[in-house]
Amino acid sequence: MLAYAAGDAAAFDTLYGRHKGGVYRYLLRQCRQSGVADELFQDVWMNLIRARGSYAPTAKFTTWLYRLAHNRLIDHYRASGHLTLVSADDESHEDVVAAIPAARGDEPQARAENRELGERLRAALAALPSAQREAFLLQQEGGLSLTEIAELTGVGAETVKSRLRYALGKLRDELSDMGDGLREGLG
Amino acid sequence: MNEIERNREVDTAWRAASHEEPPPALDAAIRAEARRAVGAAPVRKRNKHWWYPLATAATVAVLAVSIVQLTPPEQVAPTVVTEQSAAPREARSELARPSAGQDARLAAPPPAAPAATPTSPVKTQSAAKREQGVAGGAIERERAAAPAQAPEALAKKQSAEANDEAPARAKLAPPPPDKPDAGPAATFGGIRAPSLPRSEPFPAKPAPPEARRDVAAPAGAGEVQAARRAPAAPPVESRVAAAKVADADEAKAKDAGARSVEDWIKRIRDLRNEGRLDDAAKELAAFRVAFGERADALLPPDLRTWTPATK
Repeated sequence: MLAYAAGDAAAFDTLYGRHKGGVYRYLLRQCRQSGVADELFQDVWMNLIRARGSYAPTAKFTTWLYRLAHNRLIDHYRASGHLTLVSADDESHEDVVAAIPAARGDEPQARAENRELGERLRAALAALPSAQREAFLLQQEGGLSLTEIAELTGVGAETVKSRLRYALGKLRDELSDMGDGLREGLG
Repeated sequence: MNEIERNREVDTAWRAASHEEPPPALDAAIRAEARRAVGAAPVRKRNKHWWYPLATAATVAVLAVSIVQLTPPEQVAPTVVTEQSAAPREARSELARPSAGQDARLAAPPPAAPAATPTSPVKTQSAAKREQGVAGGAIERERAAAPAQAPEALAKKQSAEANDEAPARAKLAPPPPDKPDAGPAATFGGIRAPSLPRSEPFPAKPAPPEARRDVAAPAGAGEVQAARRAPAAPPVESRVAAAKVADADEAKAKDAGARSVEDWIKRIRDLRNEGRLDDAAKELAAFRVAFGERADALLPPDLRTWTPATK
């Protein structure tokens, strides 16, 4: 980021390539609409570009980036006034599910099972409270530690730990409902 | 299965199910904005060796300046001096002509500097100073040294042989006192050619103040000396007397200017051989007066020690 702030455009390409997927999925899971996620995603990166001169490496770049995304998401929540739920027939999710790698080849049965797993996981995540979902996404997509999540969200580390425990428990329950064959398929 | 393993299962399942990426169009827009923000062109490879031509040009420039600075001006000067010395010679031949147009000549600026200026291919500071010296103060300085050097101008004018005798005279003549650039004296290979007066024919005697001012005024560089002389305007009587002296000098100069050193010596010998010892003694005395200390050097041995009594 310092290189980009100094004028190196190639440094931005490196950063963007490394973090774009995680930030996009974080926003998509939180707002649950691909159109809104696109808009928020663009806003986050534009904010980063504008704030490049004030960037100080006091923390990990990832923490700073996800803080920008978190703040933009809060603004979006405030503007919309309510949380939207992901619809079961969202076409964008169909594509994502289809992209899940099949551990047992391209067998039609395995592809169907993977798609089912993805749908159920996303549904389980969507059913989580927003704070638990955010803690889970920051850990999974951003790779942030408990401390970093606590700092970013403005709560204590123990609170974050509790949120993560609840989120993982519910997702595990969702997975346990699926047969052993599905778990083997995830391999 | 413990909790950690079950959490790992969730991680794996989530990574397998979560692969969404931003649309390519959004990628391109964000990357373009990022490049625009830092003012960079679209991804372009830079030539690593772009600075080679600049470095080469800078090196050549530095070497050229160094060579110019290290080159002593004496190596450049002869070209300029040669051209300068040619111009004063022309001026000398004009000025030494019998006094029919002397006034006009004295009023005209010395042509030495203008003659050298357009033909000089290389001019250093020293050359420029030398030109100034030729144009301005040189006349004054030469006039100061004139009594010793004036006969040479006479010899130059009347005989082409004078050029051949120049080196010998240079050895005999005393060098100009600590003024290497005084007048059109040219230096070739350490031999200094004689400085010859340009403004007056032999014998060199002080010209009237008006004439002096006329000679010095157009030169520009001699303005200080001319200004020093200008306020001291003599009274009318002294100016008349000075004019008379100048006329007498001019007559002498006419008489003497018609003869070269050789002619003069020949005439003394002829008078002596004819038995006109008094006339020969007078001529010899006049010769000594005219040439001063250098008379003995110019005279042949038989005349150097000759007196009418010795025959």
